[in-house]
Amino acid sequence: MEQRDSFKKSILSSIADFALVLASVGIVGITYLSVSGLSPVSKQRYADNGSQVLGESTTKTALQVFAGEESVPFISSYTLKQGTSISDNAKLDVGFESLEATTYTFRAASLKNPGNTDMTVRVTPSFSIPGSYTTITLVFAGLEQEIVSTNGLISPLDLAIPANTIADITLKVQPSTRLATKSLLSLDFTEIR
Amino acid sequence: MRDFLRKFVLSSILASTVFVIAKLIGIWVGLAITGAAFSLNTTSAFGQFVLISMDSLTYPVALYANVVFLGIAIIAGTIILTKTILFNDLTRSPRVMVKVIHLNLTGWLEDGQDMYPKLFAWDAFLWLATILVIKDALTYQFPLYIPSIMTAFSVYYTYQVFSFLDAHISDMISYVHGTKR
Repeated sequence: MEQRDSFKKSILSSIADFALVLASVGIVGITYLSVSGLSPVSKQRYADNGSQVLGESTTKTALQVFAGEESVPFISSYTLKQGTSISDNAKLDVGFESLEATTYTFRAASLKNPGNTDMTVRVTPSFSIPGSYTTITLVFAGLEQEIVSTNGLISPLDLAIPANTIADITLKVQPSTRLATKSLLSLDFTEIR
Repeated sequence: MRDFLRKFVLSSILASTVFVIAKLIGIWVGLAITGAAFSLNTTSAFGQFVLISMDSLTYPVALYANVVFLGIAIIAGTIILTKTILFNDLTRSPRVMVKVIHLNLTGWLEDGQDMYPKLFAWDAFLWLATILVIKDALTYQFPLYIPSIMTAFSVYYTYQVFSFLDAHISDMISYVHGTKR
Protein backbone atom coordinates (compact mmCIF):
# COMPACT_ATOMS: atom_id res chain seq x y z
CA MET A 1 0.00 0.00 0.00
CA GLU A 2 2.79 2.35 1.00
CA GLN A 3 4.71 1.45 -2.13
CA ARG A 4 1.63 2.22 -4.23
CA ASP A 5 1.19 5.63 -2.60
CA SER A 6 4.83 6.42 -3.13
CA PHE A 7 4.58 5.38 -6.81
CA LYS A 8 1.44 7.56 -7.23
CA LYS A 9 3.23 10.50 -5.63
CA SER A 10 6.24 10.04 -7.86
CA ILE A 11 4.05 9.93 -11.01
CA LEU A 12 2.17 13.09 -9.97
CA SER A 13 5.43 14.83 -9.18
CA SER A 14 6.84 13.92 -12.60
CA ILE A 15 3.69 15.21 -14.32
CA ALA A 16 3.92 18.49 -12.39
CA ASP A 17 7.60 18.88 -13.33
CA PHE A 18 6.81 18.11 -16.96
CA ALA A 19 3.99 20.70 -16.92
CA LEU A 20 6.43 23.30 -15.60
CA VAL A 21 8.95 22.46 -18.34
CA LEU A 22 6.15 22.76 -20.94
CA ALA A 23 5.13 26.10 -19.44
CA SER A 24 8.71 27.38 -19.80
CA VAL A 25 8.86 26.27 -23.43
CA GLY A 26 5.44 27.88 -24.04
CA ILE A 27 6.60 31.19 -22.56
CA VAL A 28 9.67 31.17 -24.82
CA GLY A 29 7.45 30.44 -27.86
CA ILE A 30 4.93 33.16 -27.03
CA THR A 31 7.76 35.66 -26.48
CA TYR A 32 9.29 34.77 -29.86
CA LEU A 33 5.96 35.22 -31.67
CA SER A 34 5.07 38.43 -29.80
CA VAL A 35 8.44 40.16 -30.27
CA SER A 36 8.90 39.12 -33.91
CA GLY A 37 5.26 40.06 -34.60
CA LEU A 38 6.02 43.59 -33.39
CA SER A 39 8.69 44.08 -36.07
CA PRO A 40 7.23 46.61 -38.50
CA VAL A 41 6.44 45.69 -42.10
CA SER A 42 5.56 47.83 -45.08
CA LYS A 43 1.81 47.88 -45.65
CA GLN A 44 2.55 47.53 -49.37
CA ARG A 45 4.62 44.37 -48.93
CA TYR A 46 2.11 42.97 -46.46
CA ALA A 47 -0.64 43.36 -49.06
CA ASP A 48 1.65 41.71 -51.57
CA ASN A 49 2.12 38.58 -49.52
CA GLY A 50 -1.13 38.32 -47.63
CA SER A 51 -4.66 37.95 -48.80
CA GLN A 52 -6.01 40.48 -46.29
CA VAL A 53 -5.27 44.12 -45.60
CA LEU A 54 -6.94 45.32 -42.43
CA GLY A 55 -9.83 43.01 -43.02
CA GLU A 56 -10.46 44.04 -46.62
CA SER A 57 -9.95 41.31 -49.16
CA THR A 58 -7.69 41.91 -52.13
CA THR A 59 -7.25 39.58 -55.03
CA LYS A 60 -3.87 38.77 -56.47
CA THR A 61 -4.66 40.06 -59.96
CA ALA A 62 -6.67 43.19 -59.19
CA LEU A 63 -5.07 46.61 -59.64
CA GLN A 64 -4.06 48.06 -56.33
CA VAL A 65 -3.46 51.55 -55.02
CA PHE A 66 -1.18 52.27 -52.09
CA ALA A 67 -0.69 55.33 -49.94
CA GLY A 68 2.04 57.80 -50.87
CA GLU A 69 3.56 60.55 -48.76
CA GLU A 70 1.14 61.26 -45.94
CA SER A 71 3.43 63.14 -43.57
CA VAL A 72 4.12 66.27 -45.60
CA PRO A 73 3.84 69.70 -43.91
CA PHE A 74 1.37 71.15 -46.41
CA ILE A 75 -0.95 68.11 -46.23
CA SER A 76 -3.52 68.33 -43.43
CA SER A 77 -5.34 65.06 -44.10
CA TYR A 78 -4.76 62.00 -46.23
CA THR A 79 -7.36 59.29 -46.69
CA LEU A 80 -7.35 56.30 -48.98
CA LYS A 81 -10.95 55.08 -49.02
CA GLN A 82 -12.47 51.78 -50.14
CA GLY A 83 -9.36 49.74 -49.44
CA THR A 84 -6.45 49.17 -51.72
CA SER A 85 -8.18 47.29 -54.51
CA ILE A 86 -9.19 49.45 -57.46
CA SER A 87 -11.94 47.01 -58.39
CA ASP A 88 -13.67 48.41 -55.27
CA ASN A 89 -13.45 51.96 -56.73
CA ALA A 90 -10.70 53.31 -54.54
CA LYS A 91 -10.79 57.00 -53.65
CA LEU A 92 -7.95 59.17 -52.42
CA ASP A 93 -8.71 62.39 -50.51
CA VAL A 94 -5.83 64.79 -49.87
CA GLY A 95 -6.53 67.82 -47.66
CA PHE A 96 -4.16 70.78 -48.06
CA GLU A 97 -3.22 73.44 -45.53
CA SER A 98 -3.28 77.07 -46.76
CA LEU A 99 -0.97 77.16 -49.79
CA GLU A 100 1.38 79.89 -51.03
CA ALA A 101 1.77 80.83 -54.70
CA THR A 102 4.47 78.26 -55.33
CA THR A 103 4.79 74.67 -56.54
CA TYR A 104 4.15 71.81 -54.12
CA THR A 105 5.21 68.36 -55.25
CA PHE A 106 4.51 65.08 -53.44
CA ARG A 107 4.08 61.40 -54.15
CA ALA A 108 0.32 60.93 -53.87
CA ALA A 109 0.02 57.17 -54.36
CA SER A 110 1.43 54.09 -56.03
CA LEU A 111 -0.44 51.90 -58.49
CA LYS A 112 0.34 48.24 -58.78
CA ASN A 113 -0.65 45.78 -61.46
CA PRO A 114 0.12 42.31 -60.06
CA GLY A 115 -1.52 40.54 -63.01
CA ASN A 116 0.00 39.24 -66.23
CA THR A 117 -1.94 41.59 -68.54
CA ASP A 118 -1.62 45.36 -69.01
CA MET A 119 -4.36 47.35 -67.32
CA THR A 120 -5.76 50.86 -67.46
CA VAL A 121 -7.11 52.90 -64.62
CA ARG A 122 -9.14 56.10 -64.96
CA VAL A 123 -8.34 58.85 -62.47
CA THR A 124 -11.15 61.36 -62.01
CA PRO A 125 -10.10 64.39 -59.97
CA SER A 126 -12.18 66.96 -58.13
CA PHE A 127 -10.95 70.02 -56.27
CA SER A 128 -12.93 71.68 -53.48
CA ILE A 129 -12.18 75.28 -54.64
CA PRO A 130 -12.97 75.30 -58.41
CA GLY A 131 -12.16 78.93 -59.24
CA SER A 132 -9.02 79.14 -57.17
CA TYR A 133 -6.51 79.75 -60.01
CA THR A 134 -4.75 76.57 -59.01
CA THR A 135 -3.18 74.16 -61.47
CA ILE A 136 -2.82 70.53 -60.46
CA THR A 137 -0.58 68.35 -62.59
CA LEU A 138 -0.33 64.56 -62.37
CA VAL A 139 3.01 62.95 -63.15
CA PHE A 140 2.87 59.26 -64.04
CA ALA A 141 5.52 57.15 -65.77
CA GLY A 142 7.51 60.29 -66.60
CA LEU A 143 4.59 62.03 -68.31
CA GLU A 144 2.95 65.18 -66.94
CA GLN A 145 -0.69 65.98 -67.52
CA GLU A 146 -2.84 68.77 -66.12
CA ILE A 147 -5.87 67.33 -64.29
CA VAL A 148 -7.16 70.60 -62.75
CA SER A 149 -6.58 73.76 -64.77
CA THR A 150 -6.32 77.38 -63.59
CA ASN A 151 -9.94 78.08 -64.51
CA GLY A 152 -11.10 74.98 -62.60
CA LEU A 153 -11.53 72.66 -65.58
CA ILE A 154 -11.35 69.02 -64.53
CA SER A 155 -9.72 66.47 -66.86
CA PRO A 156 -10.04 62.74 -66.10
CA LEU A 157 -6.95 60.82 -67.05
CA ASP A 158 -6.37 57.23 -68.16
CA LEU A 159 -3.20 55.62 -66.86
CA ALA A 160 -1.80 52.47 -68.45
CA ILE A 161 -0.01 50.13 -66.07
CA PRO A 162 2.02 47.34 -67.65
CA ALA A 163 1.77 43.81 -66.25
CA ASN A 164 3.69 43.09 -63.05
CA THR A 165 4.73 46.68 -62.45
CA ILE A 166 4.30 49.30 -59.81
CA ALA A 167 4.34 53.03 -60.61
CA ASP A 168 4.12 56.19 -58.53
CA ILE A 169 1.60 58.99 -59.01
CA THR A 170 3.19 62.33 -58.23
CA LEU A 171 1.12 65.49 -57.95
CA LYS A 172 2.24 69.07 -58.54
CA VAL A 173 -0.02 71.69 -56.99
CA GLN A 174 0.60 75.25 -58.24
CA PRO A 175 -1.67 78.01 -56.88
CA SER A 176 -1.35 81.27 -58.88
CA THR A 177 -2.25 83.25 -55.78
CA ARG A 178 -2.14 82.38 -52.10
CA LEU A 179 -4.88 79.94 -51.00
CA ALA A 180 -5.70 81.10 -47.47
CA THR A 181 -8.32 78.42 -46.76
CA LYS A 182 -7.83 74.68 -46.61
CA SER A 183 -8.67 72.76 -49.76
CA LEU A 184 -9.40 69.16 -50.68
CA LEU A 185 -8.37 67.19 -53.73
CA SER A 186 -10.16 63.89 -54.44
CA LEU A 187 -8.97 61.30 -56.91
CA ASP A 188 -11.37 58.53 -57.92
CA PHE A 189 -9.75 55.42 -59.36
CA THR A 190 -11.78 53.23 -61.71
CA GLU A 191 -10.45 50.23 -63.53
CA ILE A 192 -11.19 50.23 -67.28
CA ARG A 193 -11.61 46.80 -68.81
CA MET B 1 13.60 20.17 -8.67
CA ARG B 2 10.01 21.45 -8.50
CA ASP B 3 11.06 24.58 -6.64
CA PHE B 4 13.77 25.25 -9.23
CA LEU B 5 11.34 24.83 -12.14
CA ARG B 6 8.64 26.94 -10.46
CA LYS B 7 11.11 29.80 -9.97
CA PHE B 8 12.42 29.28 -13.50
CA VAL B 9 8.87 29.73 -14.89
CA LEU B 10 8.32 32.86 -12.75
CA SER B 11 11.64 34.35 -13.92
CA SER B 12 10.74 33.44 -17.53
CA ILE B 13 7.43 35.31 -17.26
CA LEU B 14 9.28 38.38 -15.97
CA ALA B 15 11.95 38.17 -18.70
CA SER B 16 9.30 37.63 -21.39
CA THR B 17 7.33 40.67 -20.21
CA VAL B 18 10.48 42.81 -20.16
CA PHE B 19 11.40 41.82 -23.75
CA VAL B 20 7.88 42.36 -25.14
CA ILE B 21 7.65 45.78 -23.42
CA ALA B 22 11.18 46.61 -24.70
CA LYS B 23 10.10 45.94 -28.28
CA LEU B 24 6.89 47.95 -27.80
CA ILE B 25 8.91 50.91 -26.46
CA GLY B 26 11.34 50.51 -29.38
CA ILE B 27 8.53 50.60 -31.94
CA TRP B 28 7.00 53.62 -30.23
CA VAL B 29 10.37 55.44 -30.26
CA GLY B 30 10.89 54.52 -33.94
CA LEU B 31 7.45 55.77 -34.94
CA ALA B 32 7.87 58.97 -32.89
CA ILE B 33 11.32 59.80 -34.38
CA THR B 34 10.44 59.04 -38.01
CA GLY B 35 6.87 60.37 -37.83
CA ALA B 36 5.80 57.39 -39.93
CA ALA B 37 2.10 56.85 -40.55
CA PHE B 38 1.14 53.37 -39.41
CA SER B 39 -1.82 51.12 -38.83
CA LEU B 40 -2.30 48.19 -36.51
CA ASN B 41 -3.17 44.87 -38.06
CA THR B 42 -5.64 43.09 -35.83
CA THR B 43 -6.66 40.37 -38.24
CA SER B 44 -4.38 37.72 -36.73
CA ALA B 45 -3.26 37.13 -33.16
CA PHE B 46 0.40 36.41 -33.98
CA GLY B 47 0.93 38.02 -37.37
CA GLN B 48 2.75 41.20 -38.30
CA PHE B 49 1.10 43.74 -36.03
CA VAL B 50 2.59 47.09 -37.10
CA LEU B 51 2.09 48.11 -40.74
CA ILE B 52 4.01 51.16 -41.97
CA SER B 53 2.37 53.11 -44.81
CA MET B 54 5.61 54.17 -46.49
CA ASP B 55 7.97 51.45 -47.61
CA SER B 56 11.05 53.67 -47.09
CA LEU B 57 10.26 54.29 -43.40
CA THR B 58 10.05 50.61 -42.46
CA TYR B 59 13.85 50.29 -42.17
CA PRO B 60 14.45 53.26 -39.80
CA VAL B 61 11.50 52.27 -37.57
CA ALA B 62 12.81 48.69 -37.34
CA LEU B 63 16.35 49.97 -36.70
CA TYR B 64 15.29 52.26 -33.82
CA ALA B 65 13.07 49.48 -32.40
CA ASN B 66 15.98 47.02 -32.39
CA VAL B 67 18.47 49.51 -30.92
CA VAL B 68 16.07 50.24 -28.02
CA PHE B 69 15.34 46.50 -27.63
CA LEU B 70 19.08 45.76 -27.58
CA GLY B 71 19.70 48.53 -25.02
CA ILE B 72 16.98 47.33 -22.65
CA ALA B 73 18.12 43.67 -23.00
CA ILE B 74 21.70 44.66 -22.11
CA ILE B 75 20.59 46.81 -19.16
CA ALA B 76 18.38 43.97 -17.80
CA GLY B 77 21.17 41.40 -18.28
CA THR B 78 23.71 43.71 -16.63
CA ILE B 79 21.49 44.20 -13.57
CA ILE B 80 21.14 40.40 -13.13
CA LEU B 81 24.89 39.91 -13.70
CA THR B 82 25.87 42.70 -11.30
CA LYS B 83 23.82 41.10 -8.56
CA THR B 84 25.45 37.73 -9.24
CA ILE B 85 29.03 39.01 -9.42
CA LEU B 86 28.52 41.16 -6.36
CA PHE B 87 27.10 38.17 -4.49
CA ASN B 88 29.98 36.02 -5.73
CA ASP B 89 32.57 38.57 -4.54
CA LEU B 90 30.67 39.06 -1.32
CA THR B 91 31.22 35.44 -0.34
CA ARG B 92 34.95 35.71 -1.04
CA SER B 93 36.01 39.17 -0.03
CA PRO B 94 35.26 40.77 3.33
CA ARG B 95 36.19 44.13 1.77
CA VAL B 96 33.29 43.91 -0.69
CA MET B 97 30.99 42.81 2.11
CA VAL B 98 31.89 45.90 4.15
CA LYS B 99 31.29 48.11 1.13
CA VAL B 100 27.90 46.50 0.42
CA ILE B 101 26.83 46.95 4.03
CA HIS B 102 28.14 50.53 4.05
CA LEU B 103 26.18 51.36 0.86
CA ASN B 104 23.11 49.62 2.33
CA LEU B 105 22.83 47.29 -0.69
CA THR B 106 22.16 44.11 1.26
CA GLY B 107 18.43 44.31 0.50
CA TRP B 108 19.18 44.65 -3.22
CA LEU B 109 21.19 41.44 -3.26
CA GLU B 110 19.22 38.27 -3.62
CA ASP B 111 19.41 34.96 -1.89
CA GLY B 112 22.18 33.00 -3.60
CA GLN B 113 19.98 29.97 -4.23
CA ASP B 114 17.18 31.96 -5.86
CA MET B 115 19.73 33.28 -8.32
CA TYR B 116 20.17 29.95 -10.14
CA PRO B 117 16.76 29.69 -11.87
CA LYS B 118 16.85 33.44 -12.51
CA LEU B 119 20.32 33.25 -14.10
CA PHE B 120 19.29 30.36 -16.36
CA ALA B 121 15.97 31.95 -17.35
CA TRP B 122 17.59 35.27 -18.29
CA ASP B 123 20.35 33.45 -20.14
CA ALA B 124 17.75 31.57 -22.21
CA PHE B 125 15.85 34.78 -22.93
CA LEU B 126 19.00 36.71 -23.84
CA TRP B 127 19.77 34.05 -26.45
CA LEU B 128 16.17 34.29 -27.64
CA ALA B 129 16.63 38.07 -27.92
CA THR B 130 19.85 37.43 -29.89
CA ILE B 131 17.96 35.18 -32.33
CA LEU B 132 15.26 37.85 -32.73
CA VAL B 133 17.82 40.62 -33.36
CA ILE B 134 19.71 38.45 -35.90
CA LYS B 135 16.37 37.62 -37.61
CA ASP B 136 15.50 41.33 -37.88
CA ALA B 137 19.06 42.16 -39.01
CA LEU B 138 18.75 39.65 -41.85
CA THR B 139 15.25 40.82 -42.77
CA TYR B 140 16.00 44.56 -42.81
CA GLN B 141 19.74 44.39 -43.66
CA PHE B 142 20.89 46.21 -40.51
CA PRO B 143 24.53 47.16 -39.94
CA LEU B 144 26.50 44.20 -38.59
CA TYR B 145 27.31 45.84 -35.24
CA ILE B 146 23.74 45.49 -33.90
CA PRO B 147 23.51 41.67 -33.98
CA SER B 148 27.24 41.48 -33.08
CA ILE B 149 26.78 43.51 -29.87
CA MET B 150 23.78 41.38 -28.85
CA THR B 151 25.64 38.12 -29.55
CA ALA B 152 28.77 39.32 -27.73
CA PHE B 153 26.72 40.30 -24.68
CA SER B 154 24.90 36.94 -24.63
CA VAL B 155 28.24 35.09 -24.87
CA TYR B 156 29.67 37.22 -22.04
CA TYR B 157 26.55 36.68 -19.89
CA THR B 158 26.65 32.90 -20.47
CA TYR B 159 30.36 32.83 -19.60
CA GLN B 160 29.70 34.73 -16.36
CA VAL B 161 26.78 32.44 -15.47
CA PHE B 162 28.91 29.34 -15.89
CA SER B 163 31.81 30.93 -13.98
CA PHE B 164 29.40 31.65 -11.14
CA LEU B 165 28.07 28.09 -11.24
CA ASP B 166 31.61 26.71 -11.29
CA ALA B 167 32.19 28.35 -7.93
CA HIS B 168 28.83 27.26 -6.50
CA ILE B 169 28.21 23.93 -8.22
CA SER B 170 27.69 21.84 -5.06
CA ASP B 171 25.28 24.42 -3.64
CA MET B 172 23.40 24.47 -6.96
CA ILE B 173 23.10 20.65 -7.12
CA SER B 174 21.78 20.44 -3.58
CA TYR B 175 19.29 23.23 -4.43
CA VAL B 176 18.02 21.49 -7.59
CA HIS B 177 17.55 18.22 -5.69
CA GLY B 178 15.83 20.04 -2.86
CA THR B 179 18.23 18.79 -0.21
CA LYS B 180 19.21 22.28 0.92
CA ARG B 181 17.14 25.41 1.52
